[in-house]
Amino acid sequence: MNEDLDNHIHKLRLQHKISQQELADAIGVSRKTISTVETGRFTPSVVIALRIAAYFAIPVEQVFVLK
Amino acid sequence: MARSIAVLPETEHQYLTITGKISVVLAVFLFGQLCSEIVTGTDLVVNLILDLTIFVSVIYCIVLSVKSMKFAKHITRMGYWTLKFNDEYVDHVSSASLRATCHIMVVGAIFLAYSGDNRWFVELIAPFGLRDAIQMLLGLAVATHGALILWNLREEEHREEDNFDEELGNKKRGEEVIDE
Repeated sequence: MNEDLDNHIHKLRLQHKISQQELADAIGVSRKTISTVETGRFTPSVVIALRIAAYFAIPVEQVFVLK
Repeated sequence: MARSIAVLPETEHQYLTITGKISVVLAVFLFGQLCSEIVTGTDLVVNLILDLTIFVSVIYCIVLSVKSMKFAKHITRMGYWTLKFNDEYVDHVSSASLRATCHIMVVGAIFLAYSGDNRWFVELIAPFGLRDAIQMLLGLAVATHGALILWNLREEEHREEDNFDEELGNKKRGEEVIDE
């Protein structure tokens, strides 16, 4: 678990009304990856972070923030 | 020329889960054999239970191995043989479990290599022999490998369910507010 990193994926998903599975399918990862990134248990690579940001059409800094 | 396969992340997840189960079943088989050697000729019922456990573990291991072979067509050769996956979390779980297994094997092997034939060690592990100690080390390593995989993958399922319940609750509460 990365103590320095926070993310807004859960909030963004609720705003866009999409499930973890839908987001996972859209960016080509497993639902487990999204679930663990969302709960902060797993820190994704830059590629996944950028794909998530691109999906929500916002800069990556608005998805992931340093605490 | 290498085959190019479009591997689904869920397929990799299923394959790793089967690998974890095979490891746990293999550990049950190894520990069952060890226990069987101690209790041989003592208690008939215990012997019967242990023999049954070994038999079931062998059958289940074969069934799981056959199941895992079906994934050969749907997964990359690298993933199938070396447990290196494209999906990041699945690969993270696989790497972490292999790392733990490797550490157990290396530390255990160093210990057995240098102290395996020492008198105090032979007396300590009696009635087991050095071969049994190696078998125990192997059992411990595969048990750790399988348990870590199954634990990490299962734990996330609970968390996801929690998330979805929470989301559903929030949505329902939101709808109620709108109705009012």
